Amino acid sequence: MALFLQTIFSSLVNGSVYALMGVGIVLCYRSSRIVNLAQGETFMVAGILTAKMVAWGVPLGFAGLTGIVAATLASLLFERVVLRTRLSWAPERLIIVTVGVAFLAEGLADRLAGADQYGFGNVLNGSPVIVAGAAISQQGVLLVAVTLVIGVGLVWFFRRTLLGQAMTASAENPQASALLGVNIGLMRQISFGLAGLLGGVSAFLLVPSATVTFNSGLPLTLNGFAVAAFANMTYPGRALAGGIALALGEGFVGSYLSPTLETPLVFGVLLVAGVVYLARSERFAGARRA
Amino acid sequence: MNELVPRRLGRPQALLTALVVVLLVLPVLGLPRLSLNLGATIVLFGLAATGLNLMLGYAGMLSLGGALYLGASGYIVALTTQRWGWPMPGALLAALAGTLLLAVVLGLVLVGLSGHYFAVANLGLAVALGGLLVAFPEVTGGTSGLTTNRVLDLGIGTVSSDAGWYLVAVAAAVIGLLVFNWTVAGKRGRILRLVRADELAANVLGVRTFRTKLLVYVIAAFFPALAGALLFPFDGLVTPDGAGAVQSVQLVALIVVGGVGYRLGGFTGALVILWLQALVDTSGNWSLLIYAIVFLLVAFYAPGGIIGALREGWQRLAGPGSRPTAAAAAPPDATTRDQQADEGPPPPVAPGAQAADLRERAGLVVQGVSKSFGGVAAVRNVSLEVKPGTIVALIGSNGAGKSTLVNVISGIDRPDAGAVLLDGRDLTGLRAPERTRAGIARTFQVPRLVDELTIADNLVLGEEAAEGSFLRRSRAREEKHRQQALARLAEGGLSELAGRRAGSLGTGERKFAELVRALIANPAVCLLDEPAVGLSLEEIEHLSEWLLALRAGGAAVLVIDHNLDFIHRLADVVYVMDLGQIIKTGTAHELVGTRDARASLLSGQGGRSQENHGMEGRSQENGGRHGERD
Repeated sequence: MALFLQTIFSSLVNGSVYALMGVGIVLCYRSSRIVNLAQGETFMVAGILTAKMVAWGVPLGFAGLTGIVAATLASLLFERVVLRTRLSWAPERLIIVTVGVAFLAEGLADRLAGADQYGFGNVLNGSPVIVAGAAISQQGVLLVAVTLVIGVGLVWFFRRTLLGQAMTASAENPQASALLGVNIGLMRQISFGLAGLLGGVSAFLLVPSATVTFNSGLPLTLNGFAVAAFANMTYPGRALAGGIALALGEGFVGSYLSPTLETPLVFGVLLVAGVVYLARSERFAGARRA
Repeated sequence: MNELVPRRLGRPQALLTALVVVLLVLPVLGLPRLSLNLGATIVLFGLAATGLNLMLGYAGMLSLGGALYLGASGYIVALTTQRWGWPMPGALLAALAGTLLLAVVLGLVLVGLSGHYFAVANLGLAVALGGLLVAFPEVTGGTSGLTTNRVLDLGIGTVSSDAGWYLVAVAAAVIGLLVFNWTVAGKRGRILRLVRADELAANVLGVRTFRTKLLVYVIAAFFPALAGALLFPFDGLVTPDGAGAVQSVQLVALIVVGGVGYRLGGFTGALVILWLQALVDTSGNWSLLIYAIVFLLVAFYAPGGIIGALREGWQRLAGPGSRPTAAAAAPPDATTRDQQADEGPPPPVAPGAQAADLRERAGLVVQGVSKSFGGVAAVRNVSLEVKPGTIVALIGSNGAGKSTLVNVISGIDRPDAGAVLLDGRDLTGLRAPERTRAGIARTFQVPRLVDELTIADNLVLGEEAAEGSFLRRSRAREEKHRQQALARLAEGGLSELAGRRAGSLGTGERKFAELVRALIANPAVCLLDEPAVGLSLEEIEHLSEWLLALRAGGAAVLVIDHNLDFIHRLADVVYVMDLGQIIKTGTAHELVGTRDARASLLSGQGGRSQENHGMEGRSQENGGRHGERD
């Protein structure tokens, strides 16, 4: 029972990060039709920057804030400098560009920070919460809580606010919404900024228990993409659920079978599930309007 | 005679020879740090990337998981030689066979995915394989992988020197390029381009796209399989990293840098990136950054990669005289073929001799078809029939469900209820390609041609797409189809279009070209979705004559159009559709023969007469703004 609960607790923590990644990718895709495979790099940037600053003696709170701001700015800069002038490119080319930017980030981090593992302390250092023999750190509780608040907040935002509805509209049909006076450029900026912010926040809260290296971004992006695909690249709420589900799957495989089987097994199952789901939902493979 | 494919694909033998010469000379030139050892690495990675290039450049399938097959193949060689003590030649064959089998299994799951899902699913599989390799360290050696001594014992002799390895790599590259040439030659290359440009049109022309993409996926896996099998003994090492996500993405970077769609793109990219890394990477972790910077610079500023940029530069230097224009894409051959076509007697438009025979058949029968999208019933319980040797018109306002009905008949949309029969055979369960192969051809409101191919090639596709398997190809048949296409164009007075790229034509010309493409295989049923829209009066005249000739030839023709004069002149029977239902049926004279008849077209059951003040006004309006549709 303790193992069972413990698995759920640690999966909730990991799942929060997957969910935040997935929500970030969903936000980018909704606003720009771009699959942002550089999303995970915001986590890496914030994580390494915060760790470096803490090592230089900067207080954790300030360092963390700087990391989050840097991740947000990086994402905004990416949108402004790289993507905005190339929105008319074919989707494959844009995917390749985002991969290139992810590489650039990793290459720079590799040059500047090396291949070391980086880490820093928890922001909440109280004793862990114990439930029936299973423990979850206060930091973990905070991460899960933040994720829930962000997820629920986004769902509320998209459903209930004018701006959110405008963003949904611009995701459905950018041209038509632009003609109706929705500022889709602004929507895109907000989305990318928010995505960067989410990457930064997840780094601030997860790195203390997981460490970060120059190449931490891509695996996170992949998990995030799996989650986002589950959410049909559209629904933040579903991405939240998908992230938790993915981590639970991994967690139980890891606890009850073998930790090394986590990745292959979960990716395999996810892929098959995704294929079945997509095959069902699609009218006709690759179809545009006839 | 290989001019069917665009210029950059022509002269494969010359290119191949040139490449081999360059590859053999390169290490001898004494370029700094370009050792034979690095040369072999470059050639092998270039070979692996070439498979991705085949997929992306020809079939439009971006895989971010290429290292999956590179690694799988390497591990198969490692395991068969070391655990079971197989001799190297057997291990190499096992690696090729095993990797291709893996590609078949994974391809069955993957190739149905669209766009970015396909790209990232491949990446996810590469991650999964990397994870699996780490998960069973007792078999795979865990994260440190498996090692061997760098000797390739081929049974007939051993390879261990750098020069020997280099020659082996070049030989593998030549094999790879031969496979590449074979896969994109003639019909196969055209069909791949069709699938890439427009998968829906490919289906409707009779291409079994799933099978075709699966074949391309498996053939593309051959390249990393071959490279990976050799890389293990060459490097003396295979690790999970070599099969993982980063390696996969780096392979894509190679073809982007070299030039997507160019045969030598992978090799060029590998040369540039790996050599640059060797030049700079004396100390420190520069390699990833160099990858990224070169990759991004090329992705931003040279869409054709380095080869594309070089070609463009060369054309600029050589001056306007040698620059290929759209019209000059295949001019010498096209003109000579035109002359040939003029000399020989053109075949008839449709097999008129069989007309009597055709008339006895049941033709196209649609029984009680319904189709809803979400809550919207686009077509409700529609029945109609089109007998051989008749022209049936389907008219109605926009949104009446005409195009949906045609989509159901041609197999694009699956009906919720009802059946589609051709000469008594139930086609309801068949997908679009099978229906086309059964004899149902169609055109679209907006013509769907492959812009990058010439009109002659587009027409040839009309025959080839529905003919047998993607892999089966015969030069004699290709030549026959080409002659037939040119003859058809000559009949329509359009011979001058043969050598022009479809993308450079105007609407009317494109509509005609698409019509000829649909009719070229003499289908039993032709579905024409607004063929007259956007045409000039003269062109409409031409089209009418053509349709009458078709009817005389025994085809069953279903025409959707808004031009009532056109309909009146051609149609034997007219069906009027409104709100998804057939509201009236009659002869053309009864329904559209007089002004009064036209005015009351939509009155009666439809209940939308208030909104539709006759259809003539609408037809003009539609014709006028046709260009912007879809």
